[in-house]
Amino acid sequence: MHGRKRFPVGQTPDKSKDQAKREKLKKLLSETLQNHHDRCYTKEALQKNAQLLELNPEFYTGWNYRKLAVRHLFDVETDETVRKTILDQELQLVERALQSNVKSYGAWYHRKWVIEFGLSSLDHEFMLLKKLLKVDSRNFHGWNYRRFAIKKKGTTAEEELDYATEKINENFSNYSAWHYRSTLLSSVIRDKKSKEEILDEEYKLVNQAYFTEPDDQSAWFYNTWLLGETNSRSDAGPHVVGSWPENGSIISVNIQDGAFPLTVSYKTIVNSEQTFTTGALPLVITLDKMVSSLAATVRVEPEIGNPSETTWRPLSAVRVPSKTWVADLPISSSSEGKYTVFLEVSSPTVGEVTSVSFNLEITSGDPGSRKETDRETFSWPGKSASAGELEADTTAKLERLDICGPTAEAGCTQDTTELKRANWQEKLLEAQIEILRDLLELERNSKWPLLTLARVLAAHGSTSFTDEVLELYKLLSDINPDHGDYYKAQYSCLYIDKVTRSADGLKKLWWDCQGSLSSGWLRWNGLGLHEFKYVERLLWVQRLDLSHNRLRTLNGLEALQLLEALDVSHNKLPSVTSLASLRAVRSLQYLNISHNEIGSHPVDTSRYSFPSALTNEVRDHLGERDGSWEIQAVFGGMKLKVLAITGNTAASDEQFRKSILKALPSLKLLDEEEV
Amino acid sequence: MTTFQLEKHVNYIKSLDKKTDFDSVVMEHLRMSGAYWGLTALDLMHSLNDMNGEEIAAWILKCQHDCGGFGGNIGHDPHILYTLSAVQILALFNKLHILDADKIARYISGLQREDGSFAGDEWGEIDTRFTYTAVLCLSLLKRLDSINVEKAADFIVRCRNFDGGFGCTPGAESHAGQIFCCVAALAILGALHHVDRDLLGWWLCERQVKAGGLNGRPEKLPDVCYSWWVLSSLVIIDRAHWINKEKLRDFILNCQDQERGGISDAPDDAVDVFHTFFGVGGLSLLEYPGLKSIDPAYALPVDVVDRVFYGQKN
Repeated sequence: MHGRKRFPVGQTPDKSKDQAKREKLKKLLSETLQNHHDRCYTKEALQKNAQLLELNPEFYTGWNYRKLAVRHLFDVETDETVRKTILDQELQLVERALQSNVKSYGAWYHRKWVIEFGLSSLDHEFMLLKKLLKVDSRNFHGWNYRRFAIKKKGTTAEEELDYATEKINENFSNYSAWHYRSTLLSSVIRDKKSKEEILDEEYKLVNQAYFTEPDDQSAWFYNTWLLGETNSRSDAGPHVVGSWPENGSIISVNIQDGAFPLTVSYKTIVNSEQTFTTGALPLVITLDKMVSSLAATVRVEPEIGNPSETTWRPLSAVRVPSKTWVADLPISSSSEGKYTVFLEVSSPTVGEVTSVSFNLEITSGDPGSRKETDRETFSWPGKSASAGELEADTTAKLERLDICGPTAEAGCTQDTTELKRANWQEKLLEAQIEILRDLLELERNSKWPLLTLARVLAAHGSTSFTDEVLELYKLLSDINPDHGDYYKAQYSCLYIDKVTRSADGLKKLWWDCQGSLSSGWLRWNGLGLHEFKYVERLLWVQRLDLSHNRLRTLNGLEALQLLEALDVSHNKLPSVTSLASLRAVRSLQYLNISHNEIGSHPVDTSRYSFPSALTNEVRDHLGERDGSWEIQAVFGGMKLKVLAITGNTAASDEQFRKSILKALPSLKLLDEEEV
Repeated sequence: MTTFQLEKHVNYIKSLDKKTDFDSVVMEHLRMSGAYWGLTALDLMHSLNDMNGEEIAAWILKCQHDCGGFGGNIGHDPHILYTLSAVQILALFNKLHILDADKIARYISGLQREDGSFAGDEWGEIDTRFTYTAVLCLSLLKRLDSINVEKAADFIVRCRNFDGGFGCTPGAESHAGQIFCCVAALAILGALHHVDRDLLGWWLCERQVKAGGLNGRPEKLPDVCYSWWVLSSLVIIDRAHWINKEKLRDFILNCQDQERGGISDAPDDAVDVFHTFFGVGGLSLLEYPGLKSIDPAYALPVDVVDRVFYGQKN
């Protein structure tokens, strides 16, 4: 029972008092139910019911009975004054009931139901609310009721703001009031001018709260809202942030033996080459926001083969909407020649059209380059991070990230993400940075100002702050280890942003790949990465080594439509379902998921991250009844040749291996053994 | 370290049915939900077989009204909350087939409003709790096509706040219980993309207080029931590793009545079946040894959910 002390062991509670109360309540309850059943609405019956609800307002049927009674009485009584008296009695009963349980949903709703008749005074309601929120300033029933009463009365958001200010000034720790403020202001902020003024005032208020109650969460959470409002752009997107082929690139296609396979070489950050067996060139568009459909056209000059409508497929882990969209450009042997391909994507909200064009040269004959062998295992030259290093403390990992970190430069490939910020926005952010630094002088190593400073600096977006923000997250994960993985995830995300922002940054991370490895290969092992972000900047990647990181999900990787080989061994992937995004990578042939945690966790945290029967997107998945629906759902349809699963708990389970083999008929090697 | 008193909790839950004290009368109107909490906790502790499924199913049917909805007990009015509890209990006993699924679906779809929201019963109280209840119930009965699922998801989105959380109705403050309802409903509707996982995950992980327990809103006291609501939401959005699980486990274990069984809201408070279920559910999500694992969205053991959707395991 909420807040009631446990009876001491060894003593027996005084049953006689309990017994009398119990009998009384039981009698009142059965009488109400009987009267409800008999539709008996006499004065006496209603009085008994009122007694019951005063004792326990949670008997919802009792409130229903009263509503029927009011309706019944209104049928007989048409005089408005008498009707008002009937309703007043109801309101008085609710007041008494709330005194015994102020959190009773049934009592509060009965009050709303009564007020809806429009015969009662709203002033009384506001008086009552004032009293209630004075005693219990966080009671969410009270706040919800206030929203209801305001609407009835027709009070504007501007007028109501005074009340929010009053409650906040009474106590900065009133999160309910801060929340209320955010909803009111959202409707008040209209034009840019008023927004600028409002935000300025709000920062003053919130700063006052920081200095008064620096350890209280309320104002710090409110800051995240202010920050979002400060940084919001008028052109909210979606915008195109990446494509393959990239704008201005040159793609050479060589068709062997009539049609298959296609060998494509292309110039991007680096020169690269890939063989496709589908007879089509994949086209990839990545946006900064999810959309339910993509308005994009593909135009080839001169016309190629049979011009047909291009269909764009969404590639998100959840089916639609999606950030990444893919289409196939069919290529046949009859289409030898030189072409220019134009992709035009129109944004539905801003009416902006983004164009991507690339040159396409189609030839036929043997280029004499690649020879695929089925036995080829996926291995990288050079030393890989050792298992010992994996176990090492993460802080050390974070430092290692820093060692390889280049100085970032702006102006990378297709950088449309660069924020165009107005002067006032920048000013507000800079003022906040200063205030937070002042506060940190007083409250050194205090979690909330540190975290907020990291966020304001990141929101400011200047690359000169990047290293400081990384430092702040590192410090936060030390001083607040209970939420350490949160800070490390933020760190990891910002780190990837930093190194992928410019081609130079990326190349510096290739230090151990250059020379012996082909371009199009990316090796990011042992970096302490938590999630794979900014995938739109890496759409050209063909072979990817993410081993010895801390990945729990492969979400995002679905955008890599050229990916042939992936090493995610020695990570923290907890389940088969955490691999789900790979289903969309049709080119994938080599996969190493060894030494993860697959099969070690009874609780599957990725269970709801992809479409299944549980999410009502897929009906009765292939009728799998052997307890391996996840394996079929994830691996079924993939065309893997080589797979390594050793070092996972599940790998020693014979049934698991059998299900994998069943789902992957194309597989040649499983854990280096021929299938 | 305190250990989990499995046997004592099983005995405590079994004893509740025969109790005739004041509290048992106070709870009489929600006996259906009480039964769901108790029986699910028993199943998580591998003890459901001790209960008489036939008898319980017969009682459940006596709580059903002509409209298709169920009351919290015999003679009490139908309500969507108890309709879900009834369906969940029958799922536990593998007896969903005794229900007229179309009839229940008609009752629930009749409660959906034009804006996509759901009323709790014919009297019209609107709350995202009822959206979850409706969605879950229909999903278990494979009747989601009887409602407008897009509008149902849209209404939940209208209840989303600046902190990434959700409230009862548009404009209402975020609350962990409400967040669970909204996140789980979106998960079941295949619409989790409406959730900002990092923003919400951060707010949720900040529910953990220094002592290890979880609260339901900022600057409130920890309570065992949030071990379920916060943690299940974190599991659904894959952010449960952002809290200190050991500390939370110890908080729940410290809320056990070591002598008489049962779990309370906070250490040394009186135990009840509600907190016993949420405590056991929380420990199950923390992968506590010896417990069945629970599905974070359907709030039923994983094997029960998999049986509903994929049939009997070999």
